[in-house]
Amino acid sequence: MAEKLPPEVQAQLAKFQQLKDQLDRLLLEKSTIENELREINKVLEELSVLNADATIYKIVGNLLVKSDKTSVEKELNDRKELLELRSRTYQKQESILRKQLEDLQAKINDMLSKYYPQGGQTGIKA
Amino acid sequence: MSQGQGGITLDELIAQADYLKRYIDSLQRTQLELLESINSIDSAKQAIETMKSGNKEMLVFIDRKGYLLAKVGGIIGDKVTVHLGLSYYAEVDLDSAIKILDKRKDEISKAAQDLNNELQKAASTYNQIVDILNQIQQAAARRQQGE
Repeated sequence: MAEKLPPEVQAQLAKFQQLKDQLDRLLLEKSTIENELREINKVLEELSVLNADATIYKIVGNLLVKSDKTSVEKELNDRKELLELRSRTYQKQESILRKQLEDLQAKINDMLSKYYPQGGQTGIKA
Repeated sequence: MSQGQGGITLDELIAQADYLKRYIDSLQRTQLELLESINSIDSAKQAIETMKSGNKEMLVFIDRKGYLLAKVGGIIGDKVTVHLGLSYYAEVDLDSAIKILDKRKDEISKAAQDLNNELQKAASTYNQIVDILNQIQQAAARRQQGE
C-alpha cells in the first residue's frame, strides 16, 4: 500500500517511523535505568540493616574484592544520583518526542483525509 | 493479499501470530530462568540449614560439571557470604542470610507470577489467531473442493 501513497505523505511517514524508533530506544534505555535504580535501592535497603563493620565484597571480573559498608553505600548513592538525573532527562525527552509524534500523526491524518476523502478509517496511530 | 476478519489482511494475521510465537518463546525462556533462580535460592537455604545443624563434613564441587569434589574445612563457620544484588555480597550470620534469601525468593516468585499471567494472555491471543487461521484454511480447502 505504501508505494501508492503520495511522496509527501511517504516522507512524513518515514519521519514518523524515525521518531517512533527514537522513542522506542529511549523507552528501552529509560527502563534499563529504572531497573538498575530499583536494584540499587534494594541493595541499599539490605545494607542499611547490616552493622557498620560488616564485610562487603564486590565482584570485579572473577574476583571478589573486599570492601566496607560505608564505601559501598557511597558508591551506590553516587550511582543512584547519576541515574536519577539521567532518568529525569529521559522523561523530558520522552514528553518532547511524544508531543512531536502526536503533532506529526495529526498532520499525516490531515494529509491522508485530503488525498483520500472517502477513506473513512484511513489514518495512523502512534 | 487476501482480506481477513475485521479488515485485517491474512498476511498481517500471520505476522501477528509469528510475533506472538516469538514473544511467548521469550517469556518461557525468562520463566525458566526465574524458576532456576528460585531453585538455586532453595539450595542455598538448604545448605545454610545443614550448616546450622552442625554438620561440618562437606564436599565442594571444584568444577561446574562435578568431575571433582574436595572436602572443605575451616571455611564452614557461623557466617556465609550472600548476594545482596548487583555485584555486591555481604558476609552475614546464617539467619540473616536466610532472611535475605527469603526476600529475594519472594521478589522472584512475584515476578514469575506476573510473567505467568502475561504468558497466559499471550498464549490465549495466539490460540485465537491460530483458530482463525485454521478456519480460513478450512474455508479455502472447501472452496477448492467445490470448484
